[in-house]
Amino acid sequence: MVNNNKDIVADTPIISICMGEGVVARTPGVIISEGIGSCVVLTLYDTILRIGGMAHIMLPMNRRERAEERRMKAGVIEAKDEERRKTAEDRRRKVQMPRILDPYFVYHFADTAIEELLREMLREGVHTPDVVAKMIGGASMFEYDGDKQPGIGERNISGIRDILKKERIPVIGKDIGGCHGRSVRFWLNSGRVVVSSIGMKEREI
Amino acid sequence: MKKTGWFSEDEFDFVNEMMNIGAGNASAALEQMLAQPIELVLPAVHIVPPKEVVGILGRPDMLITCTKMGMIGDIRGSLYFVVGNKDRDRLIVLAEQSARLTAKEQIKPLSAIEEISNIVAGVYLSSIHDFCSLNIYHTVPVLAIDMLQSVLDESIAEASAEVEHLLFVENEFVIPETTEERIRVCLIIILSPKSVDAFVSVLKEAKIKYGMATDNE
Repeated sequence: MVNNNKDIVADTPIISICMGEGVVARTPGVIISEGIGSCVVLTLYDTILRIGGMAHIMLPMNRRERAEERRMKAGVIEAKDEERRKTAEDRRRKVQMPRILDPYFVYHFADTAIEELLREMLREGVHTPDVVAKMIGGASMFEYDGDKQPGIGERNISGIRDILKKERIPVIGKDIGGCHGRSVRFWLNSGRVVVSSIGMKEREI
Repeated sequence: MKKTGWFSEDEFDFVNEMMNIGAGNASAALEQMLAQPIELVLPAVHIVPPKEVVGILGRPDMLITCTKMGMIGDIRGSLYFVVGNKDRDRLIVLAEQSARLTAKEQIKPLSAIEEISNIVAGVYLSSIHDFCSLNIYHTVPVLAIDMLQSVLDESIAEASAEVEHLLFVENEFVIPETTEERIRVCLIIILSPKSVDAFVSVLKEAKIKYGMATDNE
């Protein structure tokens, strides 16, 4: 990973996650994710233990997994799935710590992503009432005329908000909506999140 | 036999051939619009899982211009026309030159890109139409300029929940009179889940039909 961010000190570990991935890590370090459109990046941060998690969530509901599960039960895609799991394991071994969790399914969807993120953080010893959340993304990149249905961005945001409410995690910062892409840097030592967009000032939330 | 997405190797070759013809027609159409001779570098056709598209196109934070079109008719889905911002600017300059505008009458530069995407998409769809006798039309393009992944993530998210693969055509053009540098434009075709089966079976039929013809030659 090339460090082209001037505000990150030279030897800080940088973890970069792509669409549909998630990670949990301890300070020191910076987690970054680039090119967020209608996806939503959710950061969870334990303010006392200074452990943070980030998920780059693509869709509000885990529909795909259900369909896959059905087919798995029918024995159609078992072999293929085993293959996927294996490559995931391989990748994890290569990256070592902090590990990027199963890159295929879990972090695609808001419901399973938050579940997995919290589970992983609890394993690290996080105390749930200390956790705060920030949300970034959920834009609608193309302008639709006459289409009144809420886009994926909006559905992602409302889906995540509902789940966080259920888990009693407060959302203390957000940079959502609009029609521009975003990139995010998340400092694990302070929980600071900086959002940058093309042609706009950087914002700290 | 090696499989590429939905197709066997032979069938994939056929798809490739169909897209080559599409690319030929597209370059002819662009030649006319830009009033410049255009050399075509053969297109690369990929049938890939939705999540791999960004990796093939470039870095997720690369700046691109993208137009989105709906696909209606016998096959439904959506079409994306993607061009890097540097190539976009060169295309706009050429379009302005060919329109021979005076200083007073400026065109909105991005409308040229919409028009080019309109033409390219139309030409590709008509080559699918010619081979498979499917009626496909596309809707008016809408435009977005931003980071590659942020523009495409919505469609990738939707597609990855619904379909296993999508069709991705990478074209490179050289305009010999200006520079030797290549202009790269990409076309992404996402079929709706219901259309996938129809498209695949029609293509397989067409392959058999035309495959016989080429064997006799």
